[in-house]
Amino acid sequence: MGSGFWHNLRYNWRSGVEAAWPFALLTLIAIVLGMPFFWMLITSVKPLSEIIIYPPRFLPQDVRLENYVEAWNAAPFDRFYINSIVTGVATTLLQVIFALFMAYAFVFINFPKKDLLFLAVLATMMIPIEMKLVPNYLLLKKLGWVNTYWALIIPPAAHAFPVFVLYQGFKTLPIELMDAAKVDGATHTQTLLRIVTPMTRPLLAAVALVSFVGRWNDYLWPLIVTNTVAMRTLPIGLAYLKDTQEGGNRWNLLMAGSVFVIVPILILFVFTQKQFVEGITSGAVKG
Amino acid sequence: MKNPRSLITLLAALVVMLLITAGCTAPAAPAGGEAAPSEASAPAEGGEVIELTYWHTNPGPAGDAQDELVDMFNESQDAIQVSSEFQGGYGDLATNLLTAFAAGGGPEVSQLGTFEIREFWKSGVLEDLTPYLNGDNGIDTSDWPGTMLDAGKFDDGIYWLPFNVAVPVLYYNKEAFEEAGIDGPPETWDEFFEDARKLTVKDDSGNVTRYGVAYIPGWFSWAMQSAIWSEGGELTNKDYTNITLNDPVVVEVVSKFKELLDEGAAIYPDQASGGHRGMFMNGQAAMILDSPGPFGDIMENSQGFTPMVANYPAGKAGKVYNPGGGGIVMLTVTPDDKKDAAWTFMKYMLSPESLAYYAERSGYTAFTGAAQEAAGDLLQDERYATIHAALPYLRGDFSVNMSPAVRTAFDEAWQKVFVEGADVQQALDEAQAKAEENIKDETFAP
Repeated sequence: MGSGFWHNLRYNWRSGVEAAWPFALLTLIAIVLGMPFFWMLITSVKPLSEIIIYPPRFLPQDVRLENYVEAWNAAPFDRFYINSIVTGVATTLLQVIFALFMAYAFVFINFPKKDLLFLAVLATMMIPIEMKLVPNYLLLKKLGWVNTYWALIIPPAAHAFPVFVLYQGFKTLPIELMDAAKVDGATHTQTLLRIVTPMTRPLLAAVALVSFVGRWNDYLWPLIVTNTVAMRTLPIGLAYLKDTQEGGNRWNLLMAGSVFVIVPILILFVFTQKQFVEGITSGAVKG
Repeated sequence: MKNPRSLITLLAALVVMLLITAGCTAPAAPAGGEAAPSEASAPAEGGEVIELTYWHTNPGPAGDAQDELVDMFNESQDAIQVSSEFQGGYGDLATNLLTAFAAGGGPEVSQLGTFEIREFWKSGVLEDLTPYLNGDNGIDTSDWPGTMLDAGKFDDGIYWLPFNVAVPVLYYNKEAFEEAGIDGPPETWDEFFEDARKLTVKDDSGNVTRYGVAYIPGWFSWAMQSAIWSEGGELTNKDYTNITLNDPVVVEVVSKFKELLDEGAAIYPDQASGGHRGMFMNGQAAMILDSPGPFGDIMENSQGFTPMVANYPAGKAGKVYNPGGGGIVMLTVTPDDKKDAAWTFMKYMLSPESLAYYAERSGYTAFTGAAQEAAGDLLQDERYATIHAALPYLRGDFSVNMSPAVRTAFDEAWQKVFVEGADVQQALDEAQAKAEENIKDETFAP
C-alpha cells in the first residue's frame, strides 16, 4: 500500500495540474467573454453619476433597480416583446422548414441544372441587405403589407444561409442509410422526416438558433417596414433609450434595456445547448 | 451636431442610388388621382376628419414632448387628427422617409435633421412652404434669430423650417476657474485657449489630473465651426463653388486646438467612457464646448463642483454660432386636399406656446422672440437666459452638413490631426483636394 499510495498521490497531483490547465485557460476566456455582460449588468443598476465617475468602479455603491422600471416605461416594451417573439419564431420556423426541404433536394435528389440552381440560391447571400431594401419595400407596398406582421415574417423567411449549412451537414450522412431507406420503400418525405431530420438534430438546433438570433437582432428591416409603435420590435425599442439628445446617452437605462433584449436569447441558448450536447453524445455512444 | 452618421449617410446614399436606378419603374409621387394605396382612410371632405401622420426622431423627453404637442393639437380642434410616430435617430428617420417616398407613401409632415435638407430638396421630397408662410394663415418670421430661415431656402422657395434649435453652450467648472485665478468664462477664443492652459493641473510626475478642455468625440467639427466662423474663416460657400477647407483661418484655428492637445491642456476622449461629458462631470476636464442637450444631466450629476454655463467666445468677426438640432418639413407626397391641414399642424408646432412648451420639456431653445415671451418663467433662470442669449448670433448655414464630400473630408482631416498628430496644413490641403474631387459626384455638384 505504501509505495502505491505515494505513487497515486504523485500521479494524481500531476494529472491534476495537467487537467487544470485547460480549466485555467477556459476560465480566462470566460472572463474575457463575460466581461461585457458583467459590465452591462452592473451599469444597468448604477445611477448615472456613478457611471461617469473616474476611476471607474467595478461594483456599484448604490444599486438603482429603478433603471429597469424607467427603461421599461420609456417605450412599450411589452408590445415589442410580443412582436419580436411572434415574428422571430414564425420566421425561424419557415426558414428551417424551407431549408430542410431545399437542402434535402439539393443533396439527395437528382434533377437538371441542380448545380446552377444551388449556385443561384447561394448567390442571394452575396447581395447586401441594403440593396434589397427599396425593391422589397416597393413590393410590400403593392401587396399592402407595409406595417404588418407579414412584412416582418415573409421576406426574411427565404434565406440561403440555413440551406447552405444543412446542405453541408446532409452531405456527411452515410449514403448507405439513404439506400437502405430506398430499399425499404421509404418516400423522400419519409426519408427526410424519419432519417435525415433525427440524425441532424443538433445541426437543426444550431441553424434555428442562428436564424432566430438574426431575426431577433435585426434593426434595419423592421425599422423600414413598420412605422407605428405597435408594430415595432425590441431592437428599435433600444433606439428609444439611445441618443436621447444630440449624442447624450443614458447609459444605465440603455444597459437595462439591453438586458431585456439579451435575456431571452441567453435562455434560448441554454436550451439549444442541451440539444447540441445530447445530439453529440447520443451519436458517440452508438458509434 | 448629431453623432457621426457616415454609415447611415452612406446607406442613405445607396438608397438614393437605388431610387435613381429604379426611377423608371418606381411609381412617381401620386400626382392627383392615381390609385394610391390607402393609408389614411377618410377622404378630406366637408365635415370629415382629416388624418395626418407625423414622423419624428429624438427619443427621450425631446421626443415625448413632440408626442405631447401632437396630442395637444388633436385636442385643440376637431377637423384634423395627427398620429405621431418615432422613427429612430436622425439617420434612421431619413432612410425611412426616402424608402417610403420611393413607394409613393410616407407621412405628410416630418421632423428632419440638417444633414439631409439639400439632398431631399433636390430629390423633390420636400414641399415648398413659401406660399403657406406668406399666405393668410402664415407665420410672422420677423423675430426669428440669425439666419435660421435661410437654412431651408433653395432657389426661391423655403423647404425646411427650424423646430428643435440647439445653440452652442460652453460648460465650465466654477471652482476650477477660481483655483486658476480666472475671472469668469472666456470672452474671446484667444482667452479660451489661454484659460485651457491655466486650468490644466498636472501631478509631480507630469501626469495630467485635470484637462483644461475635453473635445467632443466624433462631432467636434460642430464646435470648431463656430470658432472658425467667429475668427472670420469659411469652410465652403453655400453652393460649393468655393470650398476653402485649407483657408488660412481654418488652418490657424485647427492648429490652436491641436496645440492644446500636444501640451496636455486638452484631451480628445473616446465615446465609450462617457466622452467629453463624462470627463466634465467627474471633474477631469474644466471646460467643454457642447449644446444645451446635456444641460439637465450636467446640472444633476456633476461630481464635487459647481457647473456653470456660458456662451461660446467671440473672435475677430464677433460671435458667429453654429446651430444644431433639426426642423420640420412637409412632404410632396401629401395629397393636395391635405396640404392645408398639414400646414395648420406645422403652424401649431411652431407657435410661440408650442415652442416654449417644447423648450421647457426638451432643453432645446425657445428660438423665436414670441416663444421666449411665452417661456417667460423659464428664462427667469439665469442659466437658461445665458443659453438663449446665443440665439441672435446663430448662422443657419448647414452647407457643410449637407455635402457629404465637404463634411467627410473635413472630419477626416481634423481627426487625423487630433488622433494621429498629422500636420495641420498638409491634412487640410489634402482634405481640400478630396472635397473638390468628391463634390463632383454629388447630386448637387456645382
